[in-house]
Amino acid sequence: MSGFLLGLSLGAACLASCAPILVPWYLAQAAGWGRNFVLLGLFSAGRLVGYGVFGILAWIIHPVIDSLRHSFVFGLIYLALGIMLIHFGRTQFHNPCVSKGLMRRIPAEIFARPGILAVIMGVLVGLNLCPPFLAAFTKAAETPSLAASVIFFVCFWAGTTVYLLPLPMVGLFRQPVAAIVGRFACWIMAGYFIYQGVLIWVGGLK
Amino acid sequence: MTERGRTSYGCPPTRIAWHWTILLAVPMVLLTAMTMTQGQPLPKELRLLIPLIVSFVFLNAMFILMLRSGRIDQFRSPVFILYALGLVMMFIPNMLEVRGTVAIGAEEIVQGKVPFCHMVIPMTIIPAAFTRTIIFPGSMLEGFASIGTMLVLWLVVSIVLGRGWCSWVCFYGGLDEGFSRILRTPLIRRISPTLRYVPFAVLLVIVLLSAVYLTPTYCEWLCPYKSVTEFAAVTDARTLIQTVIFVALFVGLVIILPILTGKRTQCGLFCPMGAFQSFTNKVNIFGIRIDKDKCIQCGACIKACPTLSLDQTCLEKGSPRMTCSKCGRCVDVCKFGAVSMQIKGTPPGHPNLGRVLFVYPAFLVMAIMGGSMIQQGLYRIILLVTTGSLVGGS
Repeated sequence: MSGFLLGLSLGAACLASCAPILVPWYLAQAAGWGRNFVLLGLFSAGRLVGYGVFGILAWIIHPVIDSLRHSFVFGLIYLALGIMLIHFGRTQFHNPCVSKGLMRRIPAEIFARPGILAVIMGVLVGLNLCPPFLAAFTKAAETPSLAASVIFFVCFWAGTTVYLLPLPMVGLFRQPVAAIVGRFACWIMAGYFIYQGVLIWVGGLK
Repeated sequence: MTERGRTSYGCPPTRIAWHWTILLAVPMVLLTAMTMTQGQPLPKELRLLIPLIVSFVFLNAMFILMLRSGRIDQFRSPVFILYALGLVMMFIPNMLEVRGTVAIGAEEIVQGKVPFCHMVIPMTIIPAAFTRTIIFPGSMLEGFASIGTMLVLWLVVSIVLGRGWCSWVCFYGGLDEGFSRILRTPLIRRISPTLRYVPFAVLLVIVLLSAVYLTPTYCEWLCPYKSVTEFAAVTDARTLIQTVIFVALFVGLVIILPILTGKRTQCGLFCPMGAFQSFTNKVNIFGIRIDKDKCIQCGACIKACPTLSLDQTCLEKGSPRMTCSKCGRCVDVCKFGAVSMQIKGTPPGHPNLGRVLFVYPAFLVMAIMGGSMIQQGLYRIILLVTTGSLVGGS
C-alpha cells in the first residue's frame, strides 16, 4: 500500500518524465486513442519490467545506488532511448528500412511493430533514475525481503501509471500534420536523450 | 482615393493620393513624436538630439511612403531590420552599464533580474496554469523588460495583428530578415515543405520539457539570439555547451541559411514562438487574400514568401497557411494585384481599406518599440565614434 501511495504522490513527476516521450510518439503514430491505450499498456508493461529489475536491485545493491547515477549503464540507457526515437522518426518518414548502416543490426520488426517498441521504451524508461524513483528506491531498500521489495516497486508502478492514463487521448488530435510534427519532435527528444546520455558518461567517467 | 501607376519595384501599386496620405500620416507623426520624446522637451545634447530626430524622420518617412505607394514590405523591412540591429546595439552596452557584463550571473537569476522576452511565453503557460508560478527569473513589473509588461503587450498585439507579431513587433526577426536579403538570387532554392513543421515540433518539445523541469528550456538550450543579447556566464561544461549551441544556431539559422536560401529560416523553420503565434492568426481579423480570378498562378508570391507560408494549394484556396507573418512581401511582388491584405469575411474590392487598417496599428507598435531601439542604437554608434566606447555617456 505504501508503494502505491508513494507512486500516487510522486506520479506527477513520472507523467512529466514520460509525456515528452509518449506525446511525440503518439502523434507520430497517428493512431486513434483506443490503439494508444493498448500501446500505453505495453509501454507500462515495459516499465513494470524495469521497475521489477529495480525492485531486485534495491534489495541487493541499495548502498551503491547513488554512485550509479553517473554510471556508464545509465548513460547507455539514455543513448539507447535517443537512438530508438531517431530511428523511429526515420521509419515513420519513409517505409521501414533498417538495412543500412548501423541500424541494420537492429531487427526490423522493432520499428515495424509499435507494440515491441512500446515495451522496449517502457523498459528503458523504467530503468531510469528520476527523483521520484530514487525516493521509491530508498524506501524499497528498507523492506525486509526481496519479495517485499519487488512488490513495493510493483505497487509504486501502479500508482505512477494512473497519471499516464490521460496521455492516449492525444489520439483525438490524429491527423497527418500532427504526425509530421510528432516525428520531428521525436528527433528533438532523441537529441535531448543523447545529450543526457553523453553528459552522464562524461560525468561518470571522470 | 487611389491612383494607378508602376514603380521600379515591379508591380502595380494601389496608391493613395497625397492629400489622403498626409491626412492619414498626421496621427502617426504625433504619436511617434509623443512616444519618442516621452513627453519631455527635446534634449540639448547633440548626441541625444541627432538620434531622436533621425529616427523620427526615418520612421515617419517610411510610413508615409508605405501609405502612398501601396507597398507594405518595401518600407516595413528597413525599419524592421534597423529595429533588430538597434536592439543589439542598445542591449549589450546597456547590460555592460547595468551589471558590468553581458553574461547573466547566478546572482541576477536568484534575484529575478533577467529581462523577459516574448520567446518565453509558450513555455510559461502550462507551469503557470498548474503551479501559479512564472518559470522565469525575471521581475513581474519592475525594471527593464518586465514579465507583466511583455505579457500585456503580447496579448494586445496578438489580438490585433496575430502572427503579424513576427514581422512587425519581434525584436529579433529583423536579424535573419536582414541576412535573408543580402543575396538577390538565393543559392539554395529548394527547401523541403515538410520542414515547415519543425517549429511546431520544437514548440511541443520545449513546452513539455519546460513543464517537466519548470525551467525555460528554449532559453537555456536553443535560443540563437542569446548570442547577441545575454547568456549564462560560462562557468562549467554545461554552460559551455549551452553557449556553443547558441552560437552555432545563430550562425546557422540567422546568418548562413538566410543568406543561402533568401528565407527567414530561424523564423520559418525553427522558432517555437512563431509556431505558437501562428495559432493567433486563427482569431485575428486581418489576413492575406489571394483573388483567384486575378491570380495567374505565376508563383512569384510563393518564391517571395520568407516564412514558406505559401504554396500551390494556397493559391487554389485563396489564402496563405496559418504561419503567414503578414510581412506583405507577397502583396508587393504580385504584378497582377491578386494578393491583398484584407479583413476576413469582408467582400473583396477594397484593397486599401484592409491594408491601411492593418498597417496603422502594426506600424504604430513597430514605431513605438523599434523607434526607441533605433534611436538608442544610433546613440551608441555616435557614442562610439565620439568617445571610442559604446558604454558611458549620459
